[in-house]
Amino acid sequence: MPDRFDEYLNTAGEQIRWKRARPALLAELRTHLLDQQDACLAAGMSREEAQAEAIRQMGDPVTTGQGLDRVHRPKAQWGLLALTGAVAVTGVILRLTLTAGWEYPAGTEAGTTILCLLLGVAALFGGYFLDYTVLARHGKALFLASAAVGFVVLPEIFPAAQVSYVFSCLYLAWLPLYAAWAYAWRGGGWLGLICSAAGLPLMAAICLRARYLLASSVWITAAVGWLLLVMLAHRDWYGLGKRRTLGLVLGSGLLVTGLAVGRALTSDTLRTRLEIALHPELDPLGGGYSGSVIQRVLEGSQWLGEGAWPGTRPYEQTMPACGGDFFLTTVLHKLGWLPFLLLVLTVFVLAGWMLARCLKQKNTLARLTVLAVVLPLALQAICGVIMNLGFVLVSVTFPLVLNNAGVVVNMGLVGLALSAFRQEQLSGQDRAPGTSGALRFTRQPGGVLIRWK
Amino acid sequence: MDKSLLAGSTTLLVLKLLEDGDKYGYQMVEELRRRSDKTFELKSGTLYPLLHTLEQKGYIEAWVEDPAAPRPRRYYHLTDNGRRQLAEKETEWRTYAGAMLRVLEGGEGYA
Repeated sequence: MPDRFDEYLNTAGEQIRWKRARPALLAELRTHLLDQQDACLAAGMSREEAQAEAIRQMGDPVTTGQGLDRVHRPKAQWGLLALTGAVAVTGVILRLTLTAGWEYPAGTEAGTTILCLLLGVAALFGGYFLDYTVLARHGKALFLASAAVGFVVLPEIFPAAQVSYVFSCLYLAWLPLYAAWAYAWRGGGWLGLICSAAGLPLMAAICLRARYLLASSVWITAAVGWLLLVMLAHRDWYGLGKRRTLGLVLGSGLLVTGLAVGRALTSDTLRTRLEIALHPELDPLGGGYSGSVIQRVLEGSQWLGEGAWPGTRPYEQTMPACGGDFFLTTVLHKLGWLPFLLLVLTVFVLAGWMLARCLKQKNTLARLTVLAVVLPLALQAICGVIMNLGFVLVSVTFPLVLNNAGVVVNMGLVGLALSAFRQEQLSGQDRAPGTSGALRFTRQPGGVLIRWK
Repeated sequence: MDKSLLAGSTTLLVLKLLEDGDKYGYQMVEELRRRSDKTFELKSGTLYPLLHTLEQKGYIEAWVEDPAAPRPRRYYHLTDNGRRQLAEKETEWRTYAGAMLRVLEGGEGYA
């Protein structure tokens, strides 16, 4: 680029305080300068004259930079940050107080829990200040590297039993990476669609690599990944035609779902599990044990205050995982329906708020990234509540409140989603309004011009 | 020409330029120069902050033709909200200009 233009752009850039906004803004000014210079050259000026004229017509760089500085400031997301932090802190306080004095099983260990909360807050702010567009710039490499880590490295360095625990929350971090992977195949035609779709079984295989079948991680990954693909198909991201892509993605998704449901209905094991989940009293000492105990908790529960406990042994020694995955049942039993509902509704408000903001995002990457965070968050919350109310079919941990590692991962991911809201001014729309998302090469008189379809 | 005369109506001019199709910044400056017979000359210090403000207000939308191109062009598109704003501002301007002309031409009806 010519030196005089560099000088002009440096001066304008120095006035813009939000450093991350500078590259996009200066790129727009540079394009303007170059267009103006070309017009002057075409009018017969020398290069020096053309540069000088382009700069004169652009006006004072300080005024331009100051004007852009006034318009472009990061949008702080204090409300969503505070709500996320409040849910996590409430979760820690409840876990520490309600399990205090438990001898067997041991109550929540204060040091580790508080350390994980601090790590979670660090992850929340780390994600918040991260430039989420790095996912787009290195989408393919990041996804393939993470797949290699998940498929090969983690099972090698952790013992088999720990791998399940690590994957039970870490799988959530693969979804934004999958979103970046699918995004990176923009305009890639059949190859793009096939590679994007192939990422889904790859992620499912990573989850299954944990040796113990983590059904919830597999189906949450598959369902969210498929919804992200549907969104991209709706935007004709791969340039194959919206109807054709949408038909293929919807059709194959429904086919896989149909096969899975069909298998579940014809499998005796799965049918028995479903029957016991619906009627735990059929097997109160076996598969329906947790559900049966929860039924007794619900029968004795109060609107506010500790519910009646009919058991001869203490509650914590009767209800399995009552300090872990079934901790919401413990909240309901010890504090009553009102605190339970307030806690649950706060998480739903957080997910709903983020989803509403997500639907206003015009930029495809921003929308994909937020959806890859908020959909799993909402699914974990819904399934976690259902499970804690006695329908125990698959194990899902209620997000942001339970499981130390899960809190850290979920807070980091929420931070990443908020970084998209924070930078929404910069992202803009990445396709022409009312057109496809895929790039098209169209031959124009005098050359080839890249245009939107 | 006194530039302050242009200042109050820049939003109207920018929205009007986008009425018949999406344009990028340089295109808009040239189009305005041509249509005003070289009377109006928009400087980048006015144009880009204004375009970005209008984008934040939802009157226009921006999209980049090819972000990876050596010279990526950021096009601006008039939204439905922007069309309504344009219609309002155009009516306001016609009322103002009509009244101004009547006064300048001898105050017929105002005497």
